[in-house]
Amino acid sequence: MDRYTDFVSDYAINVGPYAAALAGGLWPKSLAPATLGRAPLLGSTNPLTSVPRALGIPGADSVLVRTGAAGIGLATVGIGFYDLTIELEGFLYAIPSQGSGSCTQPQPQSH
Amino acid sequence: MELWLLIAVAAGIAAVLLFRRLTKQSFLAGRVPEPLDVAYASVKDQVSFEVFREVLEAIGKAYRMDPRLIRPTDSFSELSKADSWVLGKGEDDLTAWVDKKGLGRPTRLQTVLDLATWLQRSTSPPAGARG
Repeated sequence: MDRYTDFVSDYAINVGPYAAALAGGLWPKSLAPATLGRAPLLGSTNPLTSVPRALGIPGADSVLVRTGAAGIGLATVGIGFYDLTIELEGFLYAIPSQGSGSCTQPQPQSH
Repeated sequence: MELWLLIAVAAGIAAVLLFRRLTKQSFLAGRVPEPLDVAYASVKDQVSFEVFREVLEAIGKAYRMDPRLIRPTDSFSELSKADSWVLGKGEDDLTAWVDKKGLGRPTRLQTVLDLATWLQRSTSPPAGARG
């Protein structure tokens, strides 16, 4: 267990308080309070909007805010997948006699 | 750790800008600007030129593209794909334009021509209404 937690804490990206950046990320259009969850008008299949726009914050309609929100959303997915691979890899690392950190049995010296 | 986060967000924004450019290029690939009156010829029986031009100019402004590159048969689902990396800004602007006209909301529209014919019907009095 220690080997697993050590491995994950060493290699995973822990966003900590920076998770607050999610407040500038993505939000489902169907749950947006500012538009009362109104369905797309023109046949759009894109279900996402930015959090600032979903909450009706003035100026949230700009391309800059939208691009930033999409970037944060994409980065969130990227970091999430990276951390997932580290957590899965940690299981392999923690298996005794597996992984790069395992100890080998000392071999008796023969003369 | 903060550096990794900055790199991740910067890479995310760069990817968004790149994909936005690629999807728009893909939508406009092979199109040459066509005068509006030439594009209108194929739909002149269904909508007036004034309404046709107004709709194409509104769509061009909303989706940030030359109206002469838009065709009456273009579907909004295709346009929204080209627009998806800015989270549907074009669709939102076009919806605001429709709302500003105060004609209510159309039922689900498929193509640019559908929007033009809806606007034509909504702004013109029904046949036989004039004396």
